Amino acid sequence: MQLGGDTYGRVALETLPRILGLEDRQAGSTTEGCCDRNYWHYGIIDFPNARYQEASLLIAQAVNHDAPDNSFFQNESARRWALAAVRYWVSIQRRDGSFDEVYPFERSYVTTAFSTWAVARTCDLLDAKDADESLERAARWLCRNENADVSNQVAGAAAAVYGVGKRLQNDDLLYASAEKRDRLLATQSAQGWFPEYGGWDIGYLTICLSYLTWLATETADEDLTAASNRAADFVEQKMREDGSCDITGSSRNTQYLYPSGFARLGRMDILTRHERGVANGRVLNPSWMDDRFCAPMALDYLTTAMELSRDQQHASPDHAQAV
Amino acid sequence: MTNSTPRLITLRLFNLTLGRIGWIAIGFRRLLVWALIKRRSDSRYVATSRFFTWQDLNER
Repeated sequence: MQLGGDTYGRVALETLPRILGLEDRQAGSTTEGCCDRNYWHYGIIDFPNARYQEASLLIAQAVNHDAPDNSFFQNESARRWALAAVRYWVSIQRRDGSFDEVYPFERSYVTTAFSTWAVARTCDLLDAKDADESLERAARWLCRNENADVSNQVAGAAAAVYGVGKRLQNDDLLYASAEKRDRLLATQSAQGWFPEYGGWDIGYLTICLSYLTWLATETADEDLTAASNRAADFVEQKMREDGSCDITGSSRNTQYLYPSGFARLGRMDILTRHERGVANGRVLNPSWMDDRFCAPMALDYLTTAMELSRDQQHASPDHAQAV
Repeated sequence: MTNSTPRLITLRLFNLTLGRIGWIAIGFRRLLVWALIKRRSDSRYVATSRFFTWQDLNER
């Protein structure tokens, strides 16, 4: 069994056809680019969940991911679908800059944070400017709001605000992102975890790490990298040999693990076990998730594959081995 | 046809009042089938349609 990131890339790309089926890809349709099939196709809900639009980044990354058997690489149709998803995201934004997830006029912090980060990155990857005004409004809304009980959401917001700030060369946003980062780091426990409603949770901690390590890489922030490594140490202690985690005593009982943070940190002690677990079908992977959470996790898997592939081009890590 | 909040509220009010009565519920369902499927020669509603196929990648 060949590891070294191949499993993550394969699983993510195998999930992509399912995710594309969630998007209205019909050119000229009034809901073109909407990735919430319950809304645009079944008509069983009265508003679209903006979190589905994070699929834009998964599609854009697939377009940019040069790997064997990736039929989406440099594909013009796929590029168009990613941009359609971005445009639909713009169209469903609330006037104050926020987005809804569960009910109309919700103004969801997590949805605004995560979808803004994804759309900003999609626009970076595809060199698109369609969403810049909306991105700035969303980032400013995130600056005015906080959800301090939930660290993964704050990490996502810090990353989103930074991503938009960098893209628009806006120092106010970069400063606001740094403030969010400082507030988050101040909450890290002595054991290394960041709080999720008062306690530790492995799944959410790994989402938090995905955003924090991205931010640390972007800003060459050594303190943030060190904090991320402390969090990774905590995850490592909870991980079994088969790649699953002991979640007894966790605050939220999530069962999954987002791997990209460990790839950026070079934590092969964790990734080797987890990837083997994915390859052996022992741990939860994107295809086991429901429609709502399939795309964000597949996105993280593809990101992991891309990070590991980049690392292997610079070195020959012992992670790439036959097991 | 996408849904809207007023339409959804109206539908639920109907479902929970008159729609409780069996023959009305069955009649309403027949009406929906006629409006969304039978009446239309094109763009008929098919729940299990419009998924991704590999041919889609080659369309312009």
